[in-house]
Amino acid sequence: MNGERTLGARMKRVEDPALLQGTATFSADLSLPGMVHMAILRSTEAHAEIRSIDTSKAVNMPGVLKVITSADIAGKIMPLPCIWIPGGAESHFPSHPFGVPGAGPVLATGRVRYVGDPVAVVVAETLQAAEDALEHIRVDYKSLPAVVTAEQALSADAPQLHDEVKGNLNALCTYGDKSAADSALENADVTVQLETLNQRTINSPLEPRVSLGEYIPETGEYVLRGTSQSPHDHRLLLALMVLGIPYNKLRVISPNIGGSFGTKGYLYADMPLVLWLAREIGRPVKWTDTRRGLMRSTVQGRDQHMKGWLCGDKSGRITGLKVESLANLGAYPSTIGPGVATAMVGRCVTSVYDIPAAYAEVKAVFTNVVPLGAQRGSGRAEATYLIERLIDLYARQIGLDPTEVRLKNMIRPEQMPFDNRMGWRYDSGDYPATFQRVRDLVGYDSIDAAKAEARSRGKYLGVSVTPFVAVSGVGPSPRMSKEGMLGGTWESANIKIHPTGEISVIIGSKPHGQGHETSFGQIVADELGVPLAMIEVLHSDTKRAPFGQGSYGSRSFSVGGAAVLQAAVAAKEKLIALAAHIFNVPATHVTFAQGKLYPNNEPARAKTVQEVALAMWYGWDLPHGMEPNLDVTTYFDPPDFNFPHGAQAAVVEVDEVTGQVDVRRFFGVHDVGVQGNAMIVEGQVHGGIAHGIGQALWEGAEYGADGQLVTRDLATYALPRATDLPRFTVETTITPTPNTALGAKGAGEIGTVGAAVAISNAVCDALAPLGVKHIEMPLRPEKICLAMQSAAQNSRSSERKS
Amino acid sequence: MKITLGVNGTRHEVDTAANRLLSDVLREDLGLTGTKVGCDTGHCGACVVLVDGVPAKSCCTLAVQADGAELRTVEGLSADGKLSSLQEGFQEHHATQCGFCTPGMLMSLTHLLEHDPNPDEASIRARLDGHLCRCTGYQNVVDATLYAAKKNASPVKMIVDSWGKRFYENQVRCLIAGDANRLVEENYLPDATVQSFDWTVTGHEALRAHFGNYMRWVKIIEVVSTDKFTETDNTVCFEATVRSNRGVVRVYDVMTLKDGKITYHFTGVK
Amino acid sequence: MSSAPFAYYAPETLDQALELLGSNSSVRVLAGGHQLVPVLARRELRADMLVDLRRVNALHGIRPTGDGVILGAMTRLQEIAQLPALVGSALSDAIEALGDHETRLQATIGGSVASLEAANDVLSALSVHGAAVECATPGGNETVGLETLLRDGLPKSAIIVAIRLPDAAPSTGSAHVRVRDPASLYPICAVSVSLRRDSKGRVKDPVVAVTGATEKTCRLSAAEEALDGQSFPPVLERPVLTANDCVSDHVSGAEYRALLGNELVRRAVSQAASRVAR
Repeated sequence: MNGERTLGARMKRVEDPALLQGTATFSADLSLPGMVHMAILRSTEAHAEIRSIDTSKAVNMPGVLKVITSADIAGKIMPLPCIWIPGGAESHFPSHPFGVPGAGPVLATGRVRYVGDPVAVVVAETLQAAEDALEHIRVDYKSLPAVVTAEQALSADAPQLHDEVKGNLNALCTYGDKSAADSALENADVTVQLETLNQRTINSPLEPRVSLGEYIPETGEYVLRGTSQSPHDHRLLLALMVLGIPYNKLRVISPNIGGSFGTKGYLYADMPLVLWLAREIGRPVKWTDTRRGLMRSTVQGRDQHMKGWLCGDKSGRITGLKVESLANLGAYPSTIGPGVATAMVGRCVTSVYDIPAAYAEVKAVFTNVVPLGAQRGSGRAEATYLIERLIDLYARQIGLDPTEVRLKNMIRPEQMPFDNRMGWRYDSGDYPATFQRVRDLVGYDSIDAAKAEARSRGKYLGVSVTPFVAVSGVGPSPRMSKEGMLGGTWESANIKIHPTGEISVIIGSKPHGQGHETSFGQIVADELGVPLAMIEVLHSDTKRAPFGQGSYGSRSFSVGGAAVLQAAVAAKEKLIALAAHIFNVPATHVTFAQGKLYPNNEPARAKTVQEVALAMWYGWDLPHGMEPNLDVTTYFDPPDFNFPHGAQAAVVEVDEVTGQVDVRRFFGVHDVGVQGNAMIVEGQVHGGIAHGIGQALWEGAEYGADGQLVTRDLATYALPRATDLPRFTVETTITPTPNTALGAKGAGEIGTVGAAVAISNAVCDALAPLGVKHIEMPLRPEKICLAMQSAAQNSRSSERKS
Repeated sequence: MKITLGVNGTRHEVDTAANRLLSDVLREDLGLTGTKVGCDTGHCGACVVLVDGVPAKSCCTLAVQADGAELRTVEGLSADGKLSSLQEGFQEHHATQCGFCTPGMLMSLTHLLEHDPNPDEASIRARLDGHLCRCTGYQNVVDATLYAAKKNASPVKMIVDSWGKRFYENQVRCLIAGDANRLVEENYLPDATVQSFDWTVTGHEALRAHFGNYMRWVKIIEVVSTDKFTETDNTVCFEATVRSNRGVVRVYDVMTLKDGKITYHFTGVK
Repeated sequence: MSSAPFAYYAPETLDQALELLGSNSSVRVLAGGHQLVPVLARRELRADMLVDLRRVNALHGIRPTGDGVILGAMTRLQEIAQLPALVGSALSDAIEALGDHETRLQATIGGSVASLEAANDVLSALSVHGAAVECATPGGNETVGLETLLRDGLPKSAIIVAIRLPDAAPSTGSAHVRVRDPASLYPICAVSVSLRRDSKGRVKDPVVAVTGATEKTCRLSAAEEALDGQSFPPVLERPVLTANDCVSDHVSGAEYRALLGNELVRRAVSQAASRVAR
């Protein structure tokens, strides 16, 4: 190779021309001959007994083909399964006839448990006819008391949501050393504590979900087209556990996805319904969600009610940490919700710090709200929020600068690999270096002048510098089985060189905006020395791809990319072996450079990769034992997780009267190991930061005491807009991980993990002169005003006392 | 109901129920699925198209309301597969990730650039206020728009001859004199000079009305300063600070040359 | 997502529109549509008939009068905000701040006045401009002052024809400031102020209106009284809005709305005062 490497280069995305010209196909754009439309009647009650459902009027409406309720599918469509259960703990689930943990019936059976629970569906010739008919289904509900928070659900007199789950407790999971943490707390000079609700958020990808089912009688094959972040996982679970059909008779195709951030990796009732109905009716059945439908049925995020105790000495040395958290799972366990809500919080609470005694326990609890799933950075963002808020409180208590306290306790590079005592083994990275860099970028040492200047304008200025580490790259399959994952978590790749020279790379992973077609292509282009334009990356069709998984937990590039690299390396080895045969030299005497192979020092005899591959296709003269064709499939199962890390700094201004927060500047230094495309990594970081800022300042799913979702659409649920956000200044460092073949770490969630607390800490820093210690997210102006007012009252009353 | 829609230069006769949304008719009846629908309250902006040149949310517009209108959608932005400067900027600056919100943003920003060829970051962000993007954090969208503005500006050089210069000087004189009619007559009614300049000024009447209002509502007392008279790249603009009956205001206007055609953007008072 | 079926008419004259309006009890008037159409599509509101006013010529156009301007009801808001005479006024501020760009380009002044929403920047601003609303009713035309409109609403079965906006008196300045709900983009609270400075350098004819914070858009007489006769620049010493005057919802409590209202009145007063030509 000479010149710039393809891997890591800021290459323009190959996906873009279609997306920019409106020719890229999304699920909602799909139409099949004879297609009919499904609409779902969702529960309007948070918790109620279904006394009766009268569909007689709806079924006779014009254009209506079928109306079904749970009675029509009993024994035909099984309940959804839950496949990530809390590992190493006793857990309780709704039942499932196949003996796996259940995740609730496809259509509410006897009882509804949240506003949005699917109750009945209508299939009609047009969507309009289906929607018209929905209005004529009469459901007689007998309201039952509802619980909205995890705390309420655990109380003695709380209604029981599932017969199989006593006291609504799914599981109690513990991590770390309880007695060590208790003893550290008992013997500490200083202890700070915080109780906080990491509020429930609604992921809000711009594209609502879609499922389009087709049944092909000729082959007995079902085809699901739709918004699936994990088409292979969905294929297995739907075939094996929900529809009870052979694995090879279900094909899942997922076209372009309009954002997901975790939500579209879950199983939803509409998926088996459209497939089953397609066979029943004999025509393709399409269901398209609306925004309001999404808000009350697609999995939501966060919702950890946390208590933390941090202790240390007066010099700033942290000696212990204890965390108790209540995870609000919602009405049913989502596909992987219980695992995400427990391990991803409990094992992450110590973050980048070397804390000698730490313990965390998470209780996962059922309530009458939308099921909980993943939201970009899930678990890690909540854990990071708690520890970073606690450290600020601790630093303030002992009168030290919080950045100094952080550095004092931060894991040093020479401690790598580092056992965090909670179950993770951090791989690599210079945590203090990224932290120092961000501290310099934000101009931390001269921030007092900026604060004074802001005061002259009626603003309080605050700053924060927060480090973070985020377990990524799910995951080593044997380890994940111990974490309660009922399935493998390896990833796959296939490389084919066509006789005409083009290269297809087929991956098991699935993009939803991350540009896999570009960055995965860059791996192969880099390794084989061929132009990116010669390479196509295919994905998202279970019939075309080898066995695969999907994208979640920042695993696509770090785990799936590793599989691609392995395939490219294997392809290269085979090309060299054939070239050695052609040139009649030993393989060690073949030079492979810039897509060409030649005997060492004889570049004039070079043959291109394509020429050698064509020789394999003809198969006229292959070395003994070599099979024809260049067609390599590999699987990669990482030996351990990977741990991208970094630090972010925020500068905010708070209006002294109105409490309005203005994010003035935002800096970040992120280390995701080896990068596939630096521009794409930067884009992921930008988007991640925006999510974090969104949670800190505006976002929050609000339920009434009756379980009604108040934030039910984009007119009531606030997402960050362009005028709300500042320009981000981001840099990266590159510390490869030993745990993936590429040295790549996860990049999709890293921006989010620290961003919310970076904003929260900065706002609390801004208001510190008033005596404000903590304000809960979202940091809405009203809440800030109240905090400022009560701080002012406290200081007045303490003045009177002194 | 039978309606006629001009879409990206093609005329379509559509028979549609009155309650159908423009977004649905574009996507379902005309197969133009580039326009996306992301919400049901008009808050996401993914469905924005240009209706008679003006951005509109197609999910908040009945198809029948657009009867007889000329529409532009994302499918009409590129020509023969050649991306527009804005689309190119989106690719150069990685301004699209999942791509679902992109079509709406492209339409709004296309409109912005056509009316303000040289927008600053604040005005781009203000324009994006009606668009939600969950992937990018908006920064790369801003950069893509700045890229397009720069690209549009650089390749063509516009030469303003002595007539052009006189045109502007005369305009300022008319403003001072408060003589709207003279201004209109001398500068806007078609005459040989103007035609030879290949004006694509649309809606003389609109302009005249605009000027009429202008003169009635702002009586210019004196020009405080002529702040800008530039003919950089393909753009000519002037800005002047004038004292008027409404206090001190800045008047400005901009003219751009693109693809051999001059577009005149009267932008009035800042 | 689709609304229930309805009949649709786009008449060409006001008389036809009025006739259609009277022909059915469940009829809605369609102006720009960006507010009404999605509400219908979500089936939160039903109509048997929509009367689209876009073809009614009489409702279009901006006509200067000797002492003001008549804004046809179908004039798009953005056009109004850019009228030179209105730049730097409460109405222009209000339009530039409301909603998003597409809404400002599509929404009409008539539609905004007849709006379904309680938080209404345009109404608030129009009230400090001393605007009047010209309505056509089956019984003939009627001109309704903004104060009457705020109190009693529109006359029954009326179509707004135009908004009459008088020229601001000399030495008058106005402003509109708001804090928006980040989700809906509607104001949590918005305040419009207009002030005149008399020959003795005192505040004359102060008008203050608030929207978003209160149940309906309304004048703030306490603020007007406090401002009247003050020497320039006027200052409000005491709060003019209390939590009792304000609404409470999931977006914000009444206490905060009152706090915001008082601060925004101060800011709008100071902005309006700075705009009074010297």
